[in-house]
Amino acid sequence: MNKYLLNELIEASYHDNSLDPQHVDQIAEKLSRKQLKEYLYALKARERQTTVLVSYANDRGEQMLQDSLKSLFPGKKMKSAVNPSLLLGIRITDNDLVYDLSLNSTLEQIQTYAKEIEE
Amino acid sequence: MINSEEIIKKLENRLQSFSGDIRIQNVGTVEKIQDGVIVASGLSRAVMGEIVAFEKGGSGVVFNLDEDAVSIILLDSGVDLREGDTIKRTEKILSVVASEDLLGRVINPFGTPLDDKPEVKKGTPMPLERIAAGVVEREPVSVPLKTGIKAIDAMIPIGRGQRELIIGDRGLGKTAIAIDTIINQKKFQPKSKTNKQNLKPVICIYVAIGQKESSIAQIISRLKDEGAMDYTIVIAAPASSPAAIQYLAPFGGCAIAEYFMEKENDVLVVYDDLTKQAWAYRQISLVLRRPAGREAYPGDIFYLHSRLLERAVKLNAKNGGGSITALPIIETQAGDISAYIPTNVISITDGQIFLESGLFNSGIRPAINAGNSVSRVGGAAQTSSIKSVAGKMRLELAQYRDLAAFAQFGSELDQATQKQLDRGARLTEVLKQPQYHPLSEAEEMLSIWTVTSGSADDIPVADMTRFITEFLEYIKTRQEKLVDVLDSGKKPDEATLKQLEKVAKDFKKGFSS
Repeated sequence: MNKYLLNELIEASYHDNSLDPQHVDQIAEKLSRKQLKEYLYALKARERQTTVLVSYANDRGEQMLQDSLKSLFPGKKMKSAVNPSLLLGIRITDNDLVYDLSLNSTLEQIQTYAKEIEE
Repeated sequence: MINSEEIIKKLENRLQSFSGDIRIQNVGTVEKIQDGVIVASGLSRAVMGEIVAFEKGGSGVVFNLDEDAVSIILLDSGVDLREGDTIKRTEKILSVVASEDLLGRVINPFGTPLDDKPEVKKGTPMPLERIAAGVVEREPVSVPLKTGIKAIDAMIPIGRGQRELIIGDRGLGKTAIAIDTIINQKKFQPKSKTNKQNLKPVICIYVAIGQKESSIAQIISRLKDEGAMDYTIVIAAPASSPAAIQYLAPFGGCAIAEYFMEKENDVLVVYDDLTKQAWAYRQISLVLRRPAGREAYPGDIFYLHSRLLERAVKLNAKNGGGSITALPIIETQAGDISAYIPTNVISITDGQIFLESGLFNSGIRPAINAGNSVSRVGGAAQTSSIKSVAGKMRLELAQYRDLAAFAQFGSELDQATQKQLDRGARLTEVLKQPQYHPLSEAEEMLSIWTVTSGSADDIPVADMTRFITEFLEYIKTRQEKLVDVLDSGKKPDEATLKQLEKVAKDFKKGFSS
């Protein structure tokens, strides 16, 4: 399946910027196993490109920041999750870019810096 | 007693330089793992040759950048990797930490110790891939690199900064030549009393690519026994290591060599052997689905070797005067030097030492085919003393080979032809040399002089080896000053030659055939 055809199928799978389950089923039925794998891979990539995952250290952070973060990523869907390992702060994952504003990240940076000084 | 307040203040000053900015990471996800290669999504900002780290440990190198995927070659076994694992950029390119502490060590291409000693952490990080020195920074090769092997120093002399290929079938003594060359450099180390030519000491790096670990262990043991490990670094990428390690090993050796060269040292690097590196690169390229060319090698197989060997250089005085001499080894199949990889590397190097199985089987060891072997630097890298006695040797040997084939017909030969045949037979006998016995300048010069001067014309060919051995022993014990003069490398004057003739005459009186 060439890239042009794959892109056409992906475009056809969406309705109003969200995945249409009916369209996806119709397309999937007509594909071979190998083509289905490529289609699924492309769908996942598209979802990653159009979705921003925001991880919060606790619920309070989510309540405080959710609305203001939406304006930073216009045209993208926002998903949130609670990740206590962050300790404090947030981590924003936009496709393959990760913006780490968590306390955990800062502590790791201090640890790395201290090791460099020691060496 | 140090004040605790001072300690805290020092720490505070150091920590002030710490900057806890927002960390923006470019990450990827493992999509496919196949034969030492990972295909990952994401990593849109990764650069070619960048090191990436896996979340469960281990690292790899970015090797292919496609529109929607990145191919990464693994630098370890990757047994813990799973589909869906996260990969992070390190924003670093492949490098090895080089320092004087590496001398005497056995390491992998990235500096990880393989000899149960601590890792060398302090040093200069040297990039594995680097552009070679430009034309303006170089000067012609003029200083000899003495191998201690008569056949090579007399007929195919190697200079410091040259690339001389050692090529032949398996088991013909390619590695033996390289190891003897490394052992011979002991004569030029700082504490040695035998460096009469005042040549700079040579640091040696032996890169073992795709060899059996038992073979590598044997080589290391031999180097230790001969006292050569003090100035040698062994970089091992054995057959059991991933293809990526075997592909990168020669670059690691070259990077460490460049560190020492930039400190105005002369370095010898042995790549044993580049055929295995080519196989490893072919394996990686085929798994990455790069287009296959002749013999299934990728299209840039020539560039693989050319960019490595071009980094062997003789720098001019303005740039420190250091040098890297490369001895790449290529293994042929059935003596075919017209195959793809051998012809590639022959065209890159400044000469080749061709080993032949016919010569090896007939007892001529080192089995060097003087006709097909050449040093494009030639006499410029030869000492005057050897040049004065070995000037005509190659021609005489070539004529002998032609005549020997003709003489097989059994026809009667005139005196001049017979004399030429005898001279050639004696030269062939004299050029034989046992392994691990590199000779000094004086010993090489004397061995060849006895034949080319005609002093040994009345000695039977079968006794030549014994004659030379006993003659050298005789002259070393009774004519030390003469040996010192010959060791200096200068062309012997008339008086010295006359003295030599007298000594040879005196020796022959007591020599029994």
